[in-house]
Amino acid sequence: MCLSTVYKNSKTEDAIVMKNVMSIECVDGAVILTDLMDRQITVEGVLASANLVDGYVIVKTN
Amino acid sequence: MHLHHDHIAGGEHSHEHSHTHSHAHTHDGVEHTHEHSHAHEHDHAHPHEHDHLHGHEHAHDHSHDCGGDCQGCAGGCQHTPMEELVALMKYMVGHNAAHARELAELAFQLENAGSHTAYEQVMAAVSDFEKGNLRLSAVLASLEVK
Repeated sequence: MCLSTVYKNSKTEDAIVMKNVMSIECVDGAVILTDLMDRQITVEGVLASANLVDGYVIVKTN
Repeated sequence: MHLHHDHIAGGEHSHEHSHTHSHAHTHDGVEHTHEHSHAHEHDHAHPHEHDHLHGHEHAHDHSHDCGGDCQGCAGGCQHTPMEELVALMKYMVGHNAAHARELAELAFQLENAGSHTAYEQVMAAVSDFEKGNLRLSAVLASLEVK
């Protein structure tokens, strides 16, 4: 139930795509992220891993 | 002792508004999709100047009144840092209330499992937890009034 930080390919500061992500949708080779403010970002790639306890997700981009 | 209720502060007033806008842009291989019509209601009024505060850079040189619902917001909603902090605080207060309910449920399960002392201690912790969350609710209420 916690918010997550989504990273692109690696869990590094410069790879942050979005913070405070509250929902993630995977559709047709893209990952749609929605944050606490209801902003959306679409990343072309796939969900690689999600750590729900530590609150981070890694998306592997094409 | 408080059980099963939300301490989500915020003004008692509410208002509805709706608007439609569309905008699409892509940069650095990341596409922003901001196209929608939406009507929504929220329990506070605030002016809107928006700054992006998420993890990559891009420019949005317009601001608009999205009423706090940014999904599909044309050009990418630009909220002030304070607006984001208030949204985060609101999320935390609600989240804490949900955790308090879960802990109370856990306490009851401990009681049912025969651990009355553990039940009492967890319920005392729930009470302390809710007291803390009440403080946060008060802070949130004061922030939302401004």
